Amino acid sequence: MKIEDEKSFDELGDKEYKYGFVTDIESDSLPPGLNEDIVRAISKRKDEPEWLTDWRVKAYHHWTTLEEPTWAKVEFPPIDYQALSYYSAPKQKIDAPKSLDEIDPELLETYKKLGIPLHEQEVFAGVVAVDAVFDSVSVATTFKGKLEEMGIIFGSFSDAVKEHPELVKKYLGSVVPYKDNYYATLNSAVFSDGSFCYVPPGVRCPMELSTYFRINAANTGQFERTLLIADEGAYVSYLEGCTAPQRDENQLHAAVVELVAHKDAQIKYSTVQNWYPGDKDGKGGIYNFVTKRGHCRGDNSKISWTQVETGSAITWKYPSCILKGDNSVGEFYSVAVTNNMQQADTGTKMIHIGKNTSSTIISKGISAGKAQNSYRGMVKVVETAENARNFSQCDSMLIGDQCGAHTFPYIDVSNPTAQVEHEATTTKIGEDQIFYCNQRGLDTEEAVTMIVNGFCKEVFRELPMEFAVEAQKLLGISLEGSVG
Amino acid sequence: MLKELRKKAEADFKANGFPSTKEELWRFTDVSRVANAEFSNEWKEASVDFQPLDKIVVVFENGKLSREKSNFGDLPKGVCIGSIMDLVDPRIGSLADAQSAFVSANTAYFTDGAFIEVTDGVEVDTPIHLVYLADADGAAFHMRNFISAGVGSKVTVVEEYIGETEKNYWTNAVTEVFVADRGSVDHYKVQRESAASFHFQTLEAHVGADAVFSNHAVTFGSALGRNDIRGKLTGEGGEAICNGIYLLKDKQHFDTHMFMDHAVPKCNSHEMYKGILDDKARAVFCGRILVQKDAQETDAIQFNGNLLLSRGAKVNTLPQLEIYADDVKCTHGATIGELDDVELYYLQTRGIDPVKGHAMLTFAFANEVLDEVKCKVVKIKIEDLVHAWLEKVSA
Repeated sequence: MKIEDEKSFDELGDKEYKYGFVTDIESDSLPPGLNEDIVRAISKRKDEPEWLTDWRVKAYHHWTTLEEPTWAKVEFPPIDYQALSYYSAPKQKIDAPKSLDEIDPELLETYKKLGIPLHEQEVFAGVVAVDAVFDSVSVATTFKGKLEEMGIIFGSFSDAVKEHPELVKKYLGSVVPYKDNYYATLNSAVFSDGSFCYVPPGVRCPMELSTYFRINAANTGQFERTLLIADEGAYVSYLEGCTAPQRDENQLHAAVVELVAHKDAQIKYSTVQNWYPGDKDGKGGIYNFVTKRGHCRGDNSKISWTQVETGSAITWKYPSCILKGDNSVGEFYSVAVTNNMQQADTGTKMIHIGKNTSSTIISKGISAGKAQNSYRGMVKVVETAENARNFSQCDSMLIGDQCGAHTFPYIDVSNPTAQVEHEATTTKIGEDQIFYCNQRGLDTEEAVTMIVNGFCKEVFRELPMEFAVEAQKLLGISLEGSVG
Repeated sequence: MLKELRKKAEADFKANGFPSTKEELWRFTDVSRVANAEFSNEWKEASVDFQPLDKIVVVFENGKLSREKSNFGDLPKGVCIGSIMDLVDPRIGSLADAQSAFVSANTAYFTDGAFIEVTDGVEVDTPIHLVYLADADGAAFHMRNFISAGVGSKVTVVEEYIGETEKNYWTNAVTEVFVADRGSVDHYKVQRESAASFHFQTLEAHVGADAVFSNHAVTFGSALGRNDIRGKLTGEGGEAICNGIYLLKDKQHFDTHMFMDHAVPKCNSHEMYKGILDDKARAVFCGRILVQKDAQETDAIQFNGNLLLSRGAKVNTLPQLEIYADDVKCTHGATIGELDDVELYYLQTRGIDPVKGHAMLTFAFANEVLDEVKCKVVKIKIEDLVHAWLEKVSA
């Protein structure tokens, strides 16, 4: 779109990444490189049982046979996997901290800058439990006690391996097997830590569980592993938010998230992703190659993904649902914003297997600057999925004439009783809309933020309250300097 | 020129061979049955019936032009129709030379096809009916057609492929279409090949400024087949309409790949494809709209609807948008489903039995595409064929 007042937009373009800083904490890292010894060393450092070490080693060997996928509509220089360091943990006192006071004050400072209310949480009793991950190891877990009373297990993945090995062994890799894809396999071999949550039958988790991720130590890829299980009739809502310090070298982030919903269970998984996107010329930024998948294992189960993707130089992410149980429901609500040189190839997969399964896909892609934003999704209805129902809507908005917006849906239907609908539209912000807002005293930037927020409303209303506010702010920050 | 092109295409074809399902564009269509079959080039007369649409009809018999069966009517001045083997134009092969193994093979081995040229300002009222008759078992027909419409000219061309039941042969056609500025080409393709045959066609069209190209592809036949329809809007104000229906049964597999390239601003493209699938038939639809960087004020609409009549029928649909310009209006949609019980019930309450109601609703589903057919004689023909197909299916 053409707007006359170009000068003010240039000023806006200089807005720096708000969360860009590096905390100076000594890191206990392994040397760069990847081989079987490194994989074993990671496992040993984390004191893992033999079966898990073997699983990692199997994944590593399988990984060496794979090639990086090239089908996504993203471009980046080849990654030297041998130049990365695969483990980094903040140095700790010999005994693990028992309360927040014992935690490295500098670390607490980092979280403070990020706005995570760790201290305040004790005051704001019972709003949000944070299992905060600093680089690779869990530092503090709050509200664990309260959750424990209800039988909910929520904590770091490493703790879960020690305290509940039977559950981890049963579910790990059951949704995303270690052979799944290049990045998931790499993650299976070298995953550092992550969150684990188990909600027992019939329990409704009373608070939104959340984890804040943050990449720190230089040259360290971060490989989170998250496993969430909602047993029969359980309910859990999980929030995940990311910010990362500004850095010039590209950083690799290859996480795996597995969700399991048993009979009548419900999982709601929300993400706000704001990794460092690189500067205006595309220098730096995070490579976000994530595998997320939910398995509606039992009848009447439901998994809902909501994501707001504003950061990362490259996003490669397809949160999916396997609808195996009869009457199970899968949902995917997504807002992906790309500005400057950012590239996003994101979408979902809905695999209908059970009877009367239904899925909804609402995807909003916003592309500005020289960014490329693609929706790539699949809806598959197999022979057994009687009366399956899917509705997909993918809307794209283009801001400026240098960017691209693309839609690549794959629809495979093998059952005549299925009803599948897909629609996609592409629009821009009309000059008349902007003019109208200007007339009413809003400057162009406010107007754009408002219009874009309206465009994304269907997705934002799926987010938990506190996230929705944050997401709207983020959207504003991400699009700053894009108008013109 | 053409000689060199054919040599190069043959080398390409021999070097690359047929595509495999590992290639994204051929993911859902396995052509190994064509690749592994042996084809001969022995010519024989064809004994297949056909009905000429109007006065002008050009008949190809098992891959060769038949002057006896053809009728060139009273051609208006400025219109040239003949065999591509007799007429020379440097543009032959300039649009389609090696997009796929099928195009390479065609460029290398084509033996005949229609050449139609309408000079500037000439309007041809009668539809030009091209008929391709096939009944030679084990033969391969590489047909090459060339259509050129001059500035401000107007022409209607109907390609009809008719094969005798159960004959096993391979039709591999390529049609190149040039529509000059303000020109209009109304193109139809009716495919009624033998149920045991292979049918592949690539259509390439370049559409000039303020010109209109419309294409309707109606598919009934072939065991395994594919239409590659590729349009490029090269002049401002150009318009492309690409519609079609595929009616498939038994174990038929038919693939439609559409690619619409908006290279310049202010062009429109509309695509509507409908599929009706019975038994264990399988349809693939891939429609890609590309809006290039400077193609502002593009208006592109694409829709693919599929009706599944039986268990075992299968559809893969991939409507794709690739957009590099911001001032555009692009939408696409796809649906897959079966007939609505409520609608059937409504008809029953009005005294229409379920079998008839079923046929009525199925026809209505297809009719949305038929409504767009401008040429009356063609419309009647397609309607009759669709009715006949539906009767066979419901019986």
